[in-house]
Order: sequence, then C-alpha cells, then structure tokens
Amino acid sequence: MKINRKQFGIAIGVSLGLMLVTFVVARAAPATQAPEAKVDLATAAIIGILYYFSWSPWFANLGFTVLYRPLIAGTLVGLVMGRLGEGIAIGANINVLYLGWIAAGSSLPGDPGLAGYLGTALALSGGLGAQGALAVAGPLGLLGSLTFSLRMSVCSAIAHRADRYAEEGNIKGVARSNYIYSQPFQFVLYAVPVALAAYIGAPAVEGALNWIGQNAGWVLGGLFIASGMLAALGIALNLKFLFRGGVWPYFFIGFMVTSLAGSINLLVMAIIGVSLAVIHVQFTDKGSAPPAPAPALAARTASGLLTRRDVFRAWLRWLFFSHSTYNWERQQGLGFAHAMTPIIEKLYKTKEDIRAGLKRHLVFFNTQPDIGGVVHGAVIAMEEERAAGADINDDAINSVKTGLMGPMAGIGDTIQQGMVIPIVYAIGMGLATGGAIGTATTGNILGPLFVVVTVAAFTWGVGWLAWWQGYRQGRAAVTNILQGGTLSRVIAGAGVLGNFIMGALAVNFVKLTTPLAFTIGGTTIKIQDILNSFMPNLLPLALVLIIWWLLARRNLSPTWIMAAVILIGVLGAIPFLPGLDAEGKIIWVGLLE
Amino acid sequence: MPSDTQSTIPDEHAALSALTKEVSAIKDFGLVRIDDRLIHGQVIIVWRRHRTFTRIVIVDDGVAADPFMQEVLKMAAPPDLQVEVYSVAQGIAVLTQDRVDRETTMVLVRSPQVARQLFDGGVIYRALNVGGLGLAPGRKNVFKSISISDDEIAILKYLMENGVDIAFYSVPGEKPKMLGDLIHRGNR
Repeated sequence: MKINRKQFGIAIGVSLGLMLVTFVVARAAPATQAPEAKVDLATAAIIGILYYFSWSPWFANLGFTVLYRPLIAGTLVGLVMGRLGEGIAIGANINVLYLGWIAAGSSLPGDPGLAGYLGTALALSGGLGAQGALAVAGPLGLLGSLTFSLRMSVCSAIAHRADRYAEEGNIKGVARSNYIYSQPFQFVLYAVPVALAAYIGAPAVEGALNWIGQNAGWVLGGLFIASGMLAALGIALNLKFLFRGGVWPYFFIGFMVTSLAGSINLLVMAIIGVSLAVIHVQFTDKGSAPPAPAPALAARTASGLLTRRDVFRAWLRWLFFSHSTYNWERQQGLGFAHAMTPIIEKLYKTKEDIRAGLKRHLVFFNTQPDIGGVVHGAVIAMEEERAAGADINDDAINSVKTGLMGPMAGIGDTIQQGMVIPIVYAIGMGLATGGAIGTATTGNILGPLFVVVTVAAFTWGVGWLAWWQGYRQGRAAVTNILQGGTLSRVIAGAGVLGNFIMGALAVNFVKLTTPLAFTIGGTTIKIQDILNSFMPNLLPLALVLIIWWLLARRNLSPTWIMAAVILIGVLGAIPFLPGLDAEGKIIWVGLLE
Repeated sequence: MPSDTQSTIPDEHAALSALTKEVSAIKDFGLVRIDDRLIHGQVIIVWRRHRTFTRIVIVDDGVAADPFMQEVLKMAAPPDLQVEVYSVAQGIAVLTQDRVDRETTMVLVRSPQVARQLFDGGVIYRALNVGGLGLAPGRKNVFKSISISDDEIAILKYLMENGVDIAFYSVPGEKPKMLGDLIHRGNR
C-alpha cells in the first residue's frame, strides 16, 4: 500500500475533523440523556468513542487489559446509559465467554470489546438484561476481527512513513508517527462503525425483541436459555488450557464446594483456592530446583551515560504506545523505536548515529509488553555501552532482540493472559455480582474497581520491574528471573487456583434446568427434582464437560459450538412437552428452562 | 545374471513395499512449524490448547551454539513441556530415528532453509506450518504477520512439489492460506 505525503495529510485531516465532531457531539451527551435506556445519537457516539479508547494507547496499557474487557465495557456503557448496576451485571455475564480469550502474537480470536460495548448497549435498550445478554453479545464478538485486519494493514503504511523520518534522522517524526499519526485513522475505524451500529442497531434489536415477545414469547425464553448455556462455552474454553498436569481435580472441588454452599462470594473462593494451591505446590514440588546451570553472566556495570530518569522515560513511552501502530509487517517495531527515542536522543549526537539508531529499532519486533520489557532494558544497556565505546555492533543488539522476544512473549502471555487476567476477572465478576452472578440483575461497582486496581498494579509494577532489571543486569536478568524454579511453582499454583475458580464460576454462571413434569396417579414428578436428588447442578456440570470434550477432544471450533448452543437453547424452549405451572396444573413447556 | 535379477526383483519389490508401508505408517509430527520467534505465546499457549504436545524440538545452528539462548528457551516453556535444541546435523539424526512420540512432538525451525535441510536429510513430514516470519531485508509481507523472500518461496515450492502441504497461519482456528493459492495470486 503506497500512500504519498499529500494523501496521507488529507487522510489525517479528515480523520481529525471527524474525531473533533464526535467529541463535540459527545460533550452534549449528559444534557440530552434520557432516563430510560435508549440509545440516542450522543449515547451512541460515546459508546463508539469508548470502544476506540479500548484499542487506544492513551491509558498506560490499561486499554487492552481493562477497557477492552466486557466487565469494564458493560460498566461504562451502563454508566453512560444511566443503568450502572445493570450494565455491570451484563458486562460480568458477557465476560464469562471471554475469560479464556487469549490474543497471542497478532492473532485475534473474536472481539470481547465489541461484545462488551455493543452487546451491553443492545441488551440494555432491548430489555434483555443480564440473563439474556450473552445470546446477543456472543455472536457480535465474532465480527470484530474484520476491522482488525484492515487496521493491521494500514498501520504497516504508517511504519513506512516512520522509515522516512528515520532516514532523515528525525527523532520526533518517528515518535509522532507512532503516537499521533496512527490514531485518527484508528479512531474512525473503531468509533464510527460501533457508534452507528449502536444507534441503528439498538432500536432494531429492541423492535425485533418486542415483536418476538408478542408473537413468539418462547423464543425470548430460548435466548435466555442460550445465554445460560453459552457461559458453559466460556468456562470450557478455559478448561481446554487448565485441564492438564494433574490439577484438573480442583475444578471439581471448586464446583462441588460452590454447589453445596449456594451463593458464595468468589473472593472467599479465591482465598480457599490460593490455600489449596500452596498446599498442592508444597506436596508436588520435588524440591530439586534445576542445578543452577547458568554460566552466571556477570552483572554489568553501567557506564553512567544514562540516568534512571532516561530509562524511565523510555519505559513510559513503551507503557503507553507499545501497540499504537501495531501492524502486520513489524508488529511492535514502531513502538520499540518510539520507546528508544529518549535513549537515542541522549546517547547519539551526530546525524549519522541518530539515523542508524532509529533504523536499527524500526525492525520487526513482538513480545509481551509487561514482562517482555526485560528485553528493552537489556537493549538500552547495550546501547549505553555501545555509546561509551564498547564493541557492540548492530548484529549483537539484533540477536538479543530477536532471540529473547519470543521466549519472553511465551512467559509473559502464560502469566498475564493465561493466569493474571482470567483469575483477576473471575474474582472481579464475583465481587460485581455478589456471588449470585447468573441471577444478579444489578451489579456492584466494587468488582470492576477491583479489576482496575489489580491489573494496573500488575501492568505498571511488573512492567517497570522487568524493564529496570533488564537495564541493570543486561540479558542476564532473563535467566536470573527464570531461574530457581519459582516461576514453575507459580505456574503450577495458578493452575490449581484457575481450575478451582472455574469450578466455582461454572456453578454461578451456567444455567440449565428442565421444567419437565408429569403426574402419575395423582403424584407429581418433576424431572429436575430427580436430577437434583443425584446432585445439585448436574445439568450445568454435564454441559461444561460435554463442551470441553467437543473443544479439546473433537477439535470443534468455538464458533460452531456457539451457533449450536444458541440453536439448542431456542429449540429447547419450544413448548410441546408436559410441565406444571405455579398452581400445579399441567401446561406445555419446553425441554429446557 | 538374469536369473539373479529375476530372483531379486520380488525381493526388492517386497522391500520397497515394506518401506513404503513403513513410511506411511510413521505418524506425522504433531506440528512442523517455521517461526522466527521460535517459542512464544502462540506456540506454548494456543497450539498447546489445540493439541497435546509433550516436547518441542528446535533445530537451529545458531541456538545450538548459544548456551544462554538454549537455557532461556528451555525455561520459557512450561514444566510439562520438554524442549530440545539441536543443530541441523544433530536434528536430522535425532528426528529420522525417532519413531515414538512423533504425534506429540513439535518441530520448530527459524527458516524455510532449515525446513528443507531437514526434509532432504530424510526427516519425513507431510504438513508444514509457516507460522511467523518477520519483515527483514529482501522479504515482503505476504500474508498477515508473514513476510517472505523470493528465495524462501522457491524453497517452499520445492517442498510442496515433494508432497508437503504448506499452510500459512499462526494459530489453529485462523483460516490458513495455502502456498499454492499464494503463488497463484502472486503470478496474476
């Protein structure tokens, strides 16, 4: 894709104009906000902007880890639409489906942000509430990957722009390409379609649901059943990862404990789970930490050309803008170069050195942004030594980057996306709904707040720690962090906790019962009572395990399972079987409830 | 001599068919993947969710000569996943003899060149996953996060002509792009 200077300018101008107009419209919002959950133009614009924010770099890496997640999206949409409590509960319910969602590298399996923002708006305006939201939000999430591909292509063109600035030795130009030039286009790409979809879609969905409610009420019931069943898909997707390595029994412990205790606060469950994890690790750890094989790389001595402040300034740029120009060609390459700009500015004075430095770091790069920061730290240390006269060529710096970015992404994704985010969100969802998750119609703000604080502490704390240690110790920091088996103990413990929490969540979120009943010789027999006499929550457990089996053993795609579940939910609501109404009279009911 | 030939033909035939049988009976590797980042999230999280892997065999002369990187790669993998690093020569020796565990083994290489060296060295595989190749001088971005040079395309073509299915995609669930389609599109 070739874009010349003029076209580029026009594109940016038009996008900026649109951006301003939308903000102006949005500012008028509070005054025009209707008391009922209607999506007017201003509300729709704000929802679009919020969706853009969730992709944007303006929140110190809390966009993707916090704003993009349905629990938070639901909270914000609820706030905007004047239904905070309901929004939180809806967000929590949608989030179940995405607890096991992992975007590794540049692969994006579905779009939790879209499901969260648009799904909550449509569920609120359509009156679906927390219990029916998933049936609408689930399929919506599948659409998101469409825009992702376009964004990844266009951002490649912005990287070419940065190449030219680098050729000119223009440090500011490279930085601006990353954090300014990349944004207007993305704003338009993310905010406008979502705002339009909310504005046009909300009345359409509301109308459709009203029509269905009047003409075929059982379909509405079917959507509620489907929502309760879709939660099982979310849990099963997690189990696909967690059900291994001898920790799977903890899922059943979590399930049974919650099932017997009824509504139980997930924070309480988390404390029980952590205790179990500690016990598990103590009993299974063979105590033979790998015999420190490290040809212990000597800690380096800094030459003093850089101060702690310089290193911190570089980190800040990375923290905010690591993904702002994420693209197919170089992925985080431009983000890396941007982070290095304060270092290059400080260390190199000749145009030649600056140009070489910028070009050196504009190449392909991709790692996990928090823990991967150890690579950047080590590279900063190498740049400092090089500037001080040490014999370090481009190849040496490149090989540290290309060698370490993969492994650090592997460790980082395992810890952050595989453990911290699912567990923190699971607890947050529990707090949000006070332990009665599937049935809560209003949520508690404590849940989303807990998530924000915990994820921020991890992202900022661990991020800076990794970065600083990388700088202090050079690449030896990597082995020092990984050595001694601490990490593998933490991973084993998190497996225990994860399984345990998923068990608890399954009870709280997965809703499936049957209303079937009949009378024989005056005795009423309810099928659900018979099932309960075996075990409470037998159907939800069976559903989770069946979906897990389909995913893990039959390799069925989650999309197909989602479609099947919604279909089964709706078909299961067709009233053609005998059941009882509240007064014990025989009526027609569906297979499921 | 004719009588000799006569008598050896059935033997040879039998031997050949036995060999063919043996070759087709060999289970394919769980995954043979080209990825210049080697071990990362896609490999140790997403692929492992999809299929059971017990070991990763990395074949790369550079890493085989770098104890620090070997250590990092081994520590980057979860405890229940064994990581082995070999040079190309060692890799051929190990992978041609290895008949067990193939289904749960992931073979990781950095470049099409190494994939071909393995193939020519007798490491039989029927499917090759091009999972990630970063932009580098000479390479052009062809599909999502995969950039590739003409020379590398030629190597993959050679493998394709020798019966290897070559698919470009980073993780399961993504729609793969087959090499045949890619070349076809490039020619138009």
